[in-house]
Amino acid sequence: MTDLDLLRACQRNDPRAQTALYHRFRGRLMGLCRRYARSRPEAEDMFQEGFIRIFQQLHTIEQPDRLLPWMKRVMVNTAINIYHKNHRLLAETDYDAAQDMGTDDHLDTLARLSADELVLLVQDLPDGYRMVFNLHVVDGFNHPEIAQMLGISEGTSKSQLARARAALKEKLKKLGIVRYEHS
Amino acid sequence: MNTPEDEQAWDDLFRQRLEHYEAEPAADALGRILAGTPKPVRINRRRVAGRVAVSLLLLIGMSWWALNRWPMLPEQPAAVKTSPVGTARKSTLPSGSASSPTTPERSPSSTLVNPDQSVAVNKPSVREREATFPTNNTFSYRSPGKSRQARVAGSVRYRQPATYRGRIRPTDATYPDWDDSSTDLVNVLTEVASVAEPAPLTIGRLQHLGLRLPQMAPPAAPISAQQTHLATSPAVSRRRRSSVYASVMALYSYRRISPNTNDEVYIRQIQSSRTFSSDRIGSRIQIGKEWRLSQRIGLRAGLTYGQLRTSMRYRLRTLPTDSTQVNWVNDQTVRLTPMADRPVAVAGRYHYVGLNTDLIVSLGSGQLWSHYLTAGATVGGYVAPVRRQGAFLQASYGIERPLTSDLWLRIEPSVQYGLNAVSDRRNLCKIRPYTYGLTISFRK
Repeated sequence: MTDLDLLRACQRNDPRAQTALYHRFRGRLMGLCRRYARSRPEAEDMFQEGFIRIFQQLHTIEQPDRLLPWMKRVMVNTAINIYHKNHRLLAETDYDAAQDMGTDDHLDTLARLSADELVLLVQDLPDGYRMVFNLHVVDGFNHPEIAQMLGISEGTSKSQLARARAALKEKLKKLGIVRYEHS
Repeated sequence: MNTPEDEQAWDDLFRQRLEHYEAEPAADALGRILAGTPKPVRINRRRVAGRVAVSLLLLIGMSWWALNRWPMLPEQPAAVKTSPVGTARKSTLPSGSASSPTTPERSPSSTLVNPDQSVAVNKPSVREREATFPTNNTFSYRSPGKSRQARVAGSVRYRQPATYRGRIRPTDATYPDWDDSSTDLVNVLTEVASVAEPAPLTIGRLQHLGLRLPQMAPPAAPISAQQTHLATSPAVSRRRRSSVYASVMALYSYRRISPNTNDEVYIRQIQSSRTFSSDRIGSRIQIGKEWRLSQRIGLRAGLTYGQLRTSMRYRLRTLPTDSTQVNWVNDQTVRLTPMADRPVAVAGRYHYVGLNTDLIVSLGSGQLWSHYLTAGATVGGYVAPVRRQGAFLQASYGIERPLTSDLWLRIEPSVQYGLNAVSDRRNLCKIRPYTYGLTISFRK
């Protein structure tokens, strides 16, 4: 079944096509949810809610080649909605000033870690940092867009990104040291 | 201190590792998702066709039953309908004025004036025609309020000239009382008018006219085409079994608006156009064919194109304040518009095409206009700005009259109710239209 056939069948709410669409994209979209969620249960809820919205709004898609970007976009929107529901006041939470790293040890550590471990690192970030980091670094949104999506200023977006980078580098550095000590 | 290049390299490394990261959802996730999605909309075409057929059969049956239970509206008696012709006969016709150009040799003896009916017959030339009329024939006419006996008693004895005697069998001279519709009378009159034409008149031709000529008033002066046209009132004209029609309907559209609850948005303060606003104007065009199923019931089917305009205003508010509207600018750019509480004005013109089928039930006839009821359905779909199936139920009361010998004018106040809802462009509202309009059509 081509993407177009699959799309048309899903637009008719055909359960078999919906199942096929789910199995085709579940890994990618669940990975996205894992990045944006702070825990696996939250990622599961985000994934379920996002997929329901995808099936409900699938009739608005006409071109099958844009199906995956659109689905990812819906998932990102779902993640942002959940973030706002749970952490409206935490978006501007202050954090320790970002610390500049004088060495490149964190890069070596980053290269050694698996994707699952990296995701766990991202999940450990504060919510605001995690959102800005995922939106900007992984999904490629610029700061004006992020500011509009999250309802914050561009400056806040930039500062939170810098702090997210610093926090991740710090974690990577600590992780590298720990590993070094254990090895 | 890291440079921007270092940060970019660090971001790229993260992006490469996480951009295509995949994870496995819970095993029961699919079941929960499908449980939360709308049920499939399956269109069983056979079932739909069956329902339509059953509905039509019920409609026809009910109409048939109703027509048998309650008789048709009373029509004018045949004698009244033929009065224009009779009046023309009753006038003292100058021999020259009443004669047809086709009967130049009309003999004075051929005109018999009956004191009761003042009927007259022109005798065609013996040389030119072999026309034979029955001798000692009884002509009867039905006058309003008279019983059969009275009609028999008042029947007119028509005496034929000797020239025509002996050509008709005696059985042809007596016929049961005329008890048919006035339609046949006019047909006979029409045919009799053609007798005045140069075509040879024979018994066979008269028999072909329905063998009822002896029962009607004998033709007076040759009936001209104009007189025939006078007699062809809408009440008595014979319709053909099938005809084509075209109609245009100016309509006002109204709608039932229900917000779509699929998304987390609040729609409030919905305001639609005023009752007679120009934003409600639409039109419908139909063209098709019509068949006569019985004396009272007809069926018409055709193509329909319609357009109706909608406009409304409402205020939109999202439940989560960060909801955004996403528009693709190009492959790399997405425009994000935050959806806050803001007024929205929506206006659009919906176009639809479909196939219409209507059952026509005749109610009766007056002097000029015939009355009828129609009920039916239009099945098709909206073609712009959204593509969606749509069906309408429609009903109308109409009047019609002839404009020429084969062209009829119809005027139908109609109502049409939409069975399927359409959505606005933002998919926030479901709109179910229904329309009132005036249909003007021509049937030929």
